[in-house]
Amino acid sequence: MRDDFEQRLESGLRLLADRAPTAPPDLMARVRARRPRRWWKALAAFVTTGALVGTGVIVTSPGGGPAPRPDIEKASHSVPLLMPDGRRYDVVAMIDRGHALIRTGERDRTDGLWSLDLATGRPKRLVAVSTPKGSVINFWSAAVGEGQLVWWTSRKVKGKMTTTFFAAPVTGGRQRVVAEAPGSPLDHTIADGKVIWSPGGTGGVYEVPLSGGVPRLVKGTEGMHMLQWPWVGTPPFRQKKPAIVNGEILNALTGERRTTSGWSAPAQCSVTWCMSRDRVGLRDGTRVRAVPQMFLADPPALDRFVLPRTPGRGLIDLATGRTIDLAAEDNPVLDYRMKALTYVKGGRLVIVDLAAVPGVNP
Amino acid sequence: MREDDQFEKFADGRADALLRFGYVLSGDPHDAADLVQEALARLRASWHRVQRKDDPERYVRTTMTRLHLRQWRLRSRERPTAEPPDRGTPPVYDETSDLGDALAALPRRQRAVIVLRYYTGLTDEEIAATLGVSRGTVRSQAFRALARLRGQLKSDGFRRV
Repeated sequence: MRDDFEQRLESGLRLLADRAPTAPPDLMARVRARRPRRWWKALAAFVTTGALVGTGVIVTSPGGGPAPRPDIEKASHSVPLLMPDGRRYDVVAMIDRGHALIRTGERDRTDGLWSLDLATGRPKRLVAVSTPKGSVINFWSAAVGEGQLVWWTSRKVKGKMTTTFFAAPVTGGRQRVVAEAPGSPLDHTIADGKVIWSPGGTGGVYEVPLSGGVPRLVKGTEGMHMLQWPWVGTPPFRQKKPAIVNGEILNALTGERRTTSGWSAPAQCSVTWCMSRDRVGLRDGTRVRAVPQMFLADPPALDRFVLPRTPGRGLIDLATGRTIDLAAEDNPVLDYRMKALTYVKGGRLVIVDLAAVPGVNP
Repeated sequence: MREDDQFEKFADGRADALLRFGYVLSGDPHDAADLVQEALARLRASWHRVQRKDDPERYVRTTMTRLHLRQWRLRSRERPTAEPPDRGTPPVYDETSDLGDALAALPRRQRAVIVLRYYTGLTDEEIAATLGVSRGTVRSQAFRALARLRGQLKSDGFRRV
């Protein structure tokens, strides 16, 4: 039998729970990216024993096997795993062919953005980052463009999630607030002197000048999410039933629309390609081939590169049809937002600048 | 429905509720998010077995609770002089601020027992199974935690004495 104090404690705990953050819209992508070690080992065992995967189809690699490494060697850079002071860092984006943008801090509480010289492995601090008090999301992604770095944080203001966009010169300097906006972005980019993003949930593409101002909805993008600016489509999360994600896309600047043929749900499309769990091909249903099992959450990085869900399977280059053998010692990480792939090899971090991999998109 | 689809449907539908549980358990939004993410990753790896033999929601909450207790042990061993843990101090004072402070002053295991009993509504037997301890330990931890909370909060269970 519970007394009055215990009963009120129950109510108090429920009220306390209301302070909890809401789930980020791409939580599932984070869960997938955080594959526990046991899972990785189990899958590695499946691969080495040649076991059947998923649908009972024996998986095959496009192009008949891993391509020789020279495909990516010029785009790969081996750098120290830790900062000179022993701290960990994360690769956030590519600044140019010779420098990666990295961040330091505890978990997502970022204290600095740095330029990492890929030739020497030496970091140079660009921005001393400070985060608004009460932030729930302290760091998610950063965009580089037009001489600027732009990142964002989110916090609850009067019970509503509110995002603050920050910018700083790519050559280094003080951070400044660009604008505040409702919701939390899934992705953001810099184009035509503006920061452009889609908030999770309600969608729509919004823009605000890099110099600051009031965010405004880009006409005709209501309910849609940014796929690869200026292309917008339907979001990959919270689908009520299997769908072809981004099956129909719209160029928000020109009004051009693209659809698919020959694909059935569940599938996910980028600007050029569509993928089901074990097939990949062009939007019109041509050049379709079998591939190892895929993640269906993220679009291909640079509309070109995908990483099969089975570790050790290499990196699939849709443009050339080849699978690139990475010979990684851990689980490679491909984040379509940062347009780079990272993995550990020989006690060092290998950063593959995907935009520098030779090959021509169809 | 394929296993991955089933898992994603479960995770999508329960993520907010799990974050609320994680927040009450840890008192910190970052810890809550980390716990949910890690526990869901583990559930995904074990989905086939868990779905067949167990309740996925209970599996996730048990994983979150054990991770929370274990992480605390690892952290306190590895970084004994590190900065004090973030108590999840709210940016503004509200009616749960005193309760939040009182819970933050409890040892983690005692807090977990309180949360599992009064927030999740588990029986002492279920709490014992979740924590991997005896029923007697659950009762003694609950008794001590309640005594401390009663000493710090008024009978309304919210405000500081």
